[in-house]
Amino acid sequence: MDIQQQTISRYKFIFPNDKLRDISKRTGINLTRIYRIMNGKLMKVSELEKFRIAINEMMKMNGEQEQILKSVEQAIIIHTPEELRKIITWIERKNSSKRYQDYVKKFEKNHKIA
Amino acid sequence: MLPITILERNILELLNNSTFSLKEVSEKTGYDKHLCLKIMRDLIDKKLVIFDGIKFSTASSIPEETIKIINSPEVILSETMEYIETIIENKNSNLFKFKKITLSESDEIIFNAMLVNLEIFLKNSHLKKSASKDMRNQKVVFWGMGKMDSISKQMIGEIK
Repeated sequence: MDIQQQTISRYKFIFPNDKLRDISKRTGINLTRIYRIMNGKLMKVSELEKFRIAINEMMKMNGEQEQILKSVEQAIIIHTPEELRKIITWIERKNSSKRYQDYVKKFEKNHKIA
Repeated sequence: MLPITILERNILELLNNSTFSLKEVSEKTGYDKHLCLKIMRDLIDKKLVIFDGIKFSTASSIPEETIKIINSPEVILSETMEYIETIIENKNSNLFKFKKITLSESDEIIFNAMLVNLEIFLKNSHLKKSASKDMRNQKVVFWGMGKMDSISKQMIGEIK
């Protein structure tokens, strides 16, 4: 996956409901140009930067978040599908544990208030 | 998506050939009642558990394919890793022991015999108590030995 594709898929992941007009508004890139980019036209460096700024602003990323995204991008390139599956499973397990922890914490908090 | 979490599996194992109310599940697992309810909802969504209004039990018609995925070596391996990782990360206890050592040939034979004895002991011990379904007092035990040479080779991809 090249940088342009990575940036666009990251953008779509963060703003899944954005229409072309929304993307244009958020990035400040002309609507016609957005249409072309979304249909595979090569981005200019300045446009790529605008996409990145929009993503970073939304995510308000700290060092760790930036790092994990970079690591994931690298992992996609260097690992086999089988190895990637292991990484995905590890992340999913961490996420599910966290979800349960948050659930218990949330409940305890509400219970205390009540 | 993850086919099953460790907490879900524990409850599923508890419900195997048994029916329990929410209170009983909470008592037997040691999980908070509300957490149990959340897990039960997830298991019902996954069509692995049914509720008759009073008690929970495993669904009678779990597809063969689902059972195969849940018990696949990859899923079991990832759960084992999660257990070990959790134990290693436990800062309040000294549960995990790890040593890099050099063993003489005779000591290695003795150590391997100890591992076999330990395995037999654990198997027999589990058989004596497994019917009680007392998950709260279940233990997680791990043991083993690896050869540095093959571990290093595995790390650099020479051994799959």
